Amino acid sequence: MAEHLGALEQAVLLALVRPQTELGKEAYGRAILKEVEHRLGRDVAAGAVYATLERLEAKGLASSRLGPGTPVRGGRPKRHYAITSDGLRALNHAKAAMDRLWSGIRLPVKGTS
Amino acid sequence: MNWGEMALRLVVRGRDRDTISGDLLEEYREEILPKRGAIRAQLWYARQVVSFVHPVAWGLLIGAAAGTLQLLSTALDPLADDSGGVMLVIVASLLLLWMLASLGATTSSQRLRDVVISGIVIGAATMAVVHISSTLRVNLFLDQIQDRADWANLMARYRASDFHSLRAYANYEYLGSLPVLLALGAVAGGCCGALGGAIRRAAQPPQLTSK
Repeated sequence: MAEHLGALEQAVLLALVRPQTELGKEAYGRAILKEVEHRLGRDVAAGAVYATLERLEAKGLASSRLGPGTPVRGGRPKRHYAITSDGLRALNHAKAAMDRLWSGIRLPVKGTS
Repeated sequence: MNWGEMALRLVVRGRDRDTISGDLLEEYREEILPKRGAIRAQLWYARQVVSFVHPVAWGLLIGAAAGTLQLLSTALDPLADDSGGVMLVIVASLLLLWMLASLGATTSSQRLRDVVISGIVIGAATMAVVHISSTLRVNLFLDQIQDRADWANLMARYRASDFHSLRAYANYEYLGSLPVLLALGAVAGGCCGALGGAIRRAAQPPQLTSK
């Protein structure tokens, strides 16, 4: 059975699969944070995104590797992330579940009152 | 920015210390500092560091501060009674800190439930540390504090008990009160979190609008 994903987990995995910004394509911590903020349309605390990445790695839904640093980073390395096959499966499962939930409902949703 | 770096290194796990501090430094230098200026950039960095602190760590930190104050005040004046005014200030400060810490630990969450859970964890962790410091205080200053007015009831219960050692009896009573204190901390922390979450929600503009 596919892993249940929260909204932030989905946003982070989507940032890894389909980045919408140039920086997002680099898929390291800061780039993912910016990509997630772009997708959600609001500020997101760095700690929340890194905790999500850590959790996704622990679940086997994402993997990471170290890359070289740059002068603006004080030479510190970047950790690049990638989605795993299990991560893709979980993401597809989450989208299918959301589609089922919304099936037959036309937008905008109108109340009965 | 050395203070911030040091704080960050304390709250992130070893594997990610260099990469995360590099990410924050890059954002700080490329985006935040040029756009916001030095002071607001420092505040931004502090907010980022705060977002990495786990609710348990907040609770332990607040508990350690409260416990240290308690031990220091007892060392300075063991027989001083806690007046109503002082107790009110202490409790109000604790509740305010729990509310702020609950909000700090859930800066990205839109859900009230997350803030409440965070408050519960912070309150219980704080009370656990305060209880350890209270027990330490009893064992360090037993000879002096047994003459305190607010120890009269405990002394009466001790005399009525079968215990032959006041130290053993005081430790027994303190240990017995631990579950109640933890529950009290959890409930009060949860309420502080709920209050903070409600204030934050009221202060934020609505995310979605519909006609």
